[in-house]
Amino acid sequence: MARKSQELGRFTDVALLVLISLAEGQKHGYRMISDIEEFSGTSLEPGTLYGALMRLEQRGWIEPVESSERRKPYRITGSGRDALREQLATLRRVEQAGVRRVAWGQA
Amino acid sequence: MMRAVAGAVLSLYPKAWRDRYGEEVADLIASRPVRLRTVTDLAAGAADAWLHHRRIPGARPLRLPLAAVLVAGVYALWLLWGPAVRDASGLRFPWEQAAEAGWLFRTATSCFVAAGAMTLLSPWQLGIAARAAGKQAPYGVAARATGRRVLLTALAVAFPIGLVLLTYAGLALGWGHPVAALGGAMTGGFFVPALMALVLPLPLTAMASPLMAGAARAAGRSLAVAAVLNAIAWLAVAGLLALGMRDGSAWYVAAVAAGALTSIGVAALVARTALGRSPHDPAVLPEHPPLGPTRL
Repeated sequence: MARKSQELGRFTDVALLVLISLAEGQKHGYRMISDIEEFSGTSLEPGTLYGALMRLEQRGWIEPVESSERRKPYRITGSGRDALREQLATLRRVEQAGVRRVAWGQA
Repeated sequence: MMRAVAGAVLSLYPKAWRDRYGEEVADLIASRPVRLRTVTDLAAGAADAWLHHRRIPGARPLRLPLAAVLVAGVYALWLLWGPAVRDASGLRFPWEQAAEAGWLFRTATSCFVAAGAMTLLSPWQLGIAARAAGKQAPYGVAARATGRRVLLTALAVAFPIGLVLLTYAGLALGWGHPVAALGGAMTGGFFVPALMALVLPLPLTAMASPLMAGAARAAGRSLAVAAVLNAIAWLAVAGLLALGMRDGSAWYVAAVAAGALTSIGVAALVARTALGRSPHDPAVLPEHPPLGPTRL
């Protein structure tokens, strides 16, 4: 998973935010930007968002939902959900290590 | 204003990307505030999409027309003629020193000449096959039609081939701007790839006839040998350059290196095309049209 995430390059963080956003349900680009800004405070621009969507779709972690509307929604796939779980577990380990070391520094 | 600029930047994305995401991003641009940051982000995204074209869902591999690649390669080669060959006199690499490294000098010049001869062997092989194929029943009509196409192609390329040969012979005989020994040794490397590119349409045209497939394969092999000889000749030029580069600038070495790489690259592309498109089974017609696009 770590290797696969590294292949996303500078889009790794954005891809994680997109997967988290889609984990609660399908969304189109506009709603993804608003949702990500709401839960993370990160304001994404269209070029960055669609660079990440292109990589996630190519990897099979998200897929477009058939729609007659101009705004095409995307949803997370099973492998995308697994990838998100692994990445969040890694972040938890990083967070725990960080908290421990900050505490040692204060002791 | 910014919205219009962002819309214009959107058109810089690859077509496959625009077909897939263009409408969605255009909708985002129309419905969200557009700042300078949005425009620069879109421009960076366009560069990223071109760099990672294969990641676009449903995108076909980038293809460039073979003819355009060959023309650009030969043009680039001739642009490098001045800095690589004419400026060789600045190296103070006299003919006497060339005589000392005579075997390298002879290897370079004779390999370039042999490469040119192998290139010119291809039309000869195809001419014989075209004559023979026209007499064989029951394929006579189709084979004669292909033979005529080969002949017409030969007539079309004969003049430029003659021009290239005349220029090469003129320079070899010392007409025009005099070149130093090292320049003389590498002159052939600037003409052989052009000659090969001009000859290439002949085997590609001949492949249309099963009866001429054998000759087309033989012509492809001759072009492959020419490409190998061209590469060997450039190795000898590299040896000569190493002997005489005491006075050579970095720019001069870079010009020669660029010339060598372009020459070897164009020759290899011609040989690969001629060999790659030769049908292995004489009864099978080629899948690719002559001078079609090439995958990069």
